[in-house]
Amino acid sequence: MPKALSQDQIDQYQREGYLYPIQIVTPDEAATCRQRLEAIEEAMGGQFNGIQRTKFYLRYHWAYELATTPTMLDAVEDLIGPDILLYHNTSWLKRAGDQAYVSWHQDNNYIGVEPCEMLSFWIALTPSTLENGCMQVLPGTHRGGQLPTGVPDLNNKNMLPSGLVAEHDLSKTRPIAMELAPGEASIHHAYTVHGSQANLSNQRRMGVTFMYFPTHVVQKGKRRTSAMLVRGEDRYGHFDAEFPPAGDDDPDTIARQECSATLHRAKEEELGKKTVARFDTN
Amino acid sequence: MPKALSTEQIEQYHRDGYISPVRVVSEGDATLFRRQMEEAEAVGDLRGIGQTKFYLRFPWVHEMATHPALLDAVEDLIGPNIMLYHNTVWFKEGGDGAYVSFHQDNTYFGHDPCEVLTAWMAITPATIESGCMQFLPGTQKLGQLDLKEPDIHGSNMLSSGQNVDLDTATIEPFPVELQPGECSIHHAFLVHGSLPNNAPDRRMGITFIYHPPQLGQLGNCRTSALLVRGEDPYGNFDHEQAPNAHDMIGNIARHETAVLAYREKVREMGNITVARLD
Repeated sequence: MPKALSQDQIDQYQREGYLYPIQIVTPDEAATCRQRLEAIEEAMGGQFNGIQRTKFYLRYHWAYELATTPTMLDAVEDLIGPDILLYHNTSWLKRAGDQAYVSWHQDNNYIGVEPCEMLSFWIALTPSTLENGCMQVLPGTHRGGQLPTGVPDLNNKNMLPSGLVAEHDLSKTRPIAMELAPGEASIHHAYTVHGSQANLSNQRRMGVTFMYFPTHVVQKGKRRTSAMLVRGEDRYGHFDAEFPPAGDDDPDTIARQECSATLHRAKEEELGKKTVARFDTN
Repeated sequence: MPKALSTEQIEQYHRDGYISPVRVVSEGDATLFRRQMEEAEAVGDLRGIGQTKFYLRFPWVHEMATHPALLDAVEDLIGPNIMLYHNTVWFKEGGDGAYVSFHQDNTYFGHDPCEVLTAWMAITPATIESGCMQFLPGTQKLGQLDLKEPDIHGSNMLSSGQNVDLDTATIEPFPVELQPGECSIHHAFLVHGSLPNNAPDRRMGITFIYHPPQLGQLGNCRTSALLVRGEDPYGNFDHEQAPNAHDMIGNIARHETAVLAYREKVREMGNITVARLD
């Protein structure tokens, strides 16, 4: 008996590799998250960026709470089972009129979990529409496994530090634009090819992602990384344990977030990502 | 009544500034330790600050640093209250030309009084051919020596390039040959160095530096140390936490904090090239 999703939704995820929209928090709660994120930016003096933007659920309590919202974990559990690790998160921010885009790619490329039972939740903090550059997925591409990659697209408008470009035949698959209202989320499989276009609207487009996988997966390469057990139990110990943030400005919390983000980056480099720090400065 | 050493060994330490060899673990355990060390090395964990004070990061290193056979010998020399201040590795590839200039360990620690000792444990055979340490017996009695121009050229493994101002040619060196799992122990004022490895295999050793809690440290920066036996009624050092196998991320974070303080002290004491080999 699924906890949050219908059997049809589960079937669709398995068949198409994506699912949307799922209501995660109320529009008011999404607006509060937006304020918190913009307060961080104000303190940083620019767009949320650099290594602080990686795995920031380890630093900011609001992000940790969002990542562990029961509705969201119920949906994750319906798709990957009851023992759940939270591995990664980041933000996807496009200014009004921003030419920034995301090249077509697969999330598992530089994460390298095997088997690839990882999924990403993308939560909208503002409306995310075709006009303002919402995420687009290529249905069913998750069933093709890991695709070869082409020459990286290191245009400075490509929001992926790696410039990752998955080689695929766009003419065969019509992209689905996953439009979302604030507080709604989409889910996609870590092999599902996705990307996004520029923001042609006069409003900022903001979203945050969280990535989850079951405790039994392993990661390619030799370097260890860390993940947070957010539900169930971890009988495998394939990842070093992470703990919830003690307070946004607690020195130990800051140090731990930095350590975990650094380990994640080292893993990406081990798996071939060369330009990890391309956008560290505003 | 000494716990591990003979009265002769204790007398030798006070007279000559060192004892050797002291068996800590079996050759088999040393081989296992080598494997763990090389796994950490392979993923880059022993680079840069990773090769300093890493008993704070890895439970298996902490276990070696607090091995009862080792601490018993340390206790016989400096008493029952023991703090672990530092550790690092000394790896020489066959034919790589790496050497260590003649120096004293306490120069950039600044422990005062210098009741500090270093245990150097062999992970592979340390022989004259593989470039084992060379002690200059009795030089610990000279106290802190002046320094000559640092030797920060070529293959000197010391980040500081420390070069003591002493006519070393007049003193017959003692080559510290050790089998895997054995260690030597030397006083932190004892002058020592080493020559390149001309053997086929790599020469691997690890050092642990201990002191009693009552002593202080020159300079202003505060550093940290790990109480590994007895108690510390003095509080001259911030207390470190042993690594926790269930909190590797916390270990990394605490390790980094401790190394930053350690390096600040080293710089304060005059080693401005501490990051030279990072």
